[in-house]
Amino acid sequence: MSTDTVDRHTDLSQPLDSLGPDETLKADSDQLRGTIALSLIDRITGSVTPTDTKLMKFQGIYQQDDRDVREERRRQKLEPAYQFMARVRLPGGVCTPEQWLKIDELARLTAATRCA
Amino acid sequence: MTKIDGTGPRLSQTQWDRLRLLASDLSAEQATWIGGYFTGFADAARAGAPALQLGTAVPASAPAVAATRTFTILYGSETGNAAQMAKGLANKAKALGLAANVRDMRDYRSGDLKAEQDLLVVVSTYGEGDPPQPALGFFDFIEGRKAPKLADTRFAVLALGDSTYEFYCEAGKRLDRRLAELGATRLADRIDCDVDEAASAKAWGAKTVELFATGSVARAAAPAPVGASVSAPAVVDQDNPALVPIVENIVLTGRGSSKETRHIELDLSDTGLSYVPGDALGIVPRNDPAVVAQLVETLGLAADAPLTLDERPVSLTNALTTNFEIVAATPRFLASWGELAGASRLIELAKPEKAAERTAFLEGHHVTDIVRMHPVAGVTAAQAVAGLRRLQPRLYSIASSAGAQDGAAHLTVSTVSYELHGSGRLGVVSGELSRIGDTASLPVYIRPNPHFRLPADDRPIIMVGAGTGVAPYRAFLQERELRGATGRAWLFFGERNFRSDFLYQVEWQGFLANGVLSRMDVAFSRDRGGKVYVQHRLREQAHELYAWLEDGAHLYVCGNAEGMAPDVDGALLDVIVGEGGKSPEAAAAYLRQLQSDHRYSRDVY
Repeated sequence: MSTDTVDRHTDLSQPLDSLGPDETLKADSDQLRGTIALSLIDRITGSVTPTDTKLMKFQGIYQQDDRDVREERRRQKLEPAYQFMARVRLPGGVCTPEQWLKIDELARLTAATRCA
Repeated sequence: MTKIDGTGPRLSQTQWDRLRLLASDLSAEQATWIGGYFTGFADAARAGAPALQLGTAVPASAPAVAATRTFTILYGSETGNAAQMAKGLANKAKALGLAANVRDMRDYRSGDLKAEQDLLVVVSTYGEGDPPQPALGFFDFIEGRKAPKLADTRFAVLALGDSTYEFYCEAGKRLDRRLAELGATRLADRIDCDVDEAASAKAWGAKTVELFATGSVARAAAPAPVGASVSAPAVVDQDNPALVPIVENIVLTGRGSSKETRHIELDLSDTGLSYVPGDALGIVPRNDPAVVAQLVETLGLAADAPLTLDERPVSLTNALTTNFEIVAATPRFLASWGELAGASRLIELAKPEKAAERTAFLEGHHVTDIVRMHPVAGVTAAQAVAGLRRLQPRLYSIASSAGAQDGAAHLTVSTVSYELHGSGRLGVVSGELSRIGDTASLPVYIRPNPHFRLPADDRPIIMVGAGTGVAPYRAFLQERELRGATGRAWLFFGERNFRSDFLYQVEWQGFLANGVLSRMDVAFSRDRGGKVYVQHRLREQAHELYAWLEDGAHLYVCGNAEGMAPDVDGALLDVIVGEGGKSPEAAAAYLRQLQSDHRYSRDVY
């Protein structure tokens, strides 16, 4: 018997409408996928949609923008300088050398090449 | 604001404008009479009479115009210079009682050529000796095998060009050669005019028009009567610019950018200047005082050394500030300074056959550099300026809609800045804009760009722009938003870096959100992920792009002539070949057809 087929919809302890709006958002998000993938390939903006911003938080990724240049960029008719911060869960505060090297690799692959 | 295009049997914009003006205050009775009048005129035209002379007294019935030869002034123009020149010549002809039929090569029906009797050609040259883009179809025809014999035609060619380019006035030379090959008689020798030689072009034109007028040339019944013209407001043009205040001058490019691009807002409200989206603004430049002082010093002359210019006394400093190009040198300057300095190398470089070498040398050596390399002791102010060319206005596509911006004009200007022989050099106007802030004024005029216009509101438009080439599209979208236009709009934009160089980013996002812009594709060539340019995006979107074209979309390309324009053209051909299942020749014909349907416009610089 596979656990893949277990339907978790009935696991909710209370009906959605008696909970906060974020619970409905999560329930409707296709397992926290939302439209994140689409948001990320949108070349017109460096941000993701407000809904996706929220969904990403549940996955430990936070959309921010560089506040030091926010006003300057507004006057330049440029959107805020968006960037993402990723939090890593380290149970017990322990990071193995292999984990550290992986974080290093991911950072090199995805971080902005230049920090303003 | 209603725009009707392509109505009637190929009326030119000018003809249509005149007609519309005429129609604006007619009574029903007058309109009926005029209808009959034109019918009578059409009969006369079919019988070989020339175009109706403006300004002749209103006849009681259809005019009986005596004519022996037709006279056509045919121009090929991209930025409007040749067009303006042609219209000026037509006025000159009119004053001589000679009715000229002014035609644009863009709209010229090839079948009309064999009937031309007296033909005055005005044509500019662009890039590597290329004809003006709207005239390409005409060149294909006249240089091809289908061109007719022209035994009964008399012609003269006025060629406009820029001598800093290798293939100077080449388009004019080609037509001059070809017309003779086709058997036409050269009435006057061709004249080649540099960008600052408008005066000699006009003088040649006046003389040549007179040549056409003498002999058996079409003559209208009477010369234009004096006093028929309505008193017009003072004309603002490059010789008489309006001084307008700068109200905003900001850098659009963000921190860390590899370039500087500015957004300038000018207040036109007190000038009566008006423009439509697509038009350009001309700025009459002034040289940087520091560069002027440096040149005066290098020459070893006094700043206030007296000089006579256009029959008026002026100081050397003033002349070098407002009258002469003192940055880029010309072949004429090489010859003139080479003579003075006894520098055989310069004289050698000035020879026509050294074009390629000269171009490279001029890129690396400005006027000051040449003077420093070959000093001339005891040179006079008059000798020093003898080889210099006149300072030319700089043209910028207007980045705003007058209606949406309350009459203000916005510009998007890239600051030209580079290092040469150890010192920083700045563009004449862009350098000035980067210096003067937002409290100064600029001498400006409007340069209409009739080939770069929005179509009817319900037509789809595809706009391709790189860098500051996006400027006119900001004007287009502001205008369409204001008018509540329903047509779809698709913008392709290219620059270097997403983070710093996405010019007007939040405005495009707003247009996408409110539907004024339907789609936008961007290409950033210096971001991670490789050198991606607008032409790559065009190819990626081939299917959809071709569908838009087949839906009647109008296509615009604006930006750098050397880098972007040919690559975009190549990508468009590939799209048409791939999606339209056409041969390369058929695809080229497809693009040419778009052009002659006024659905493909380019504004490249």
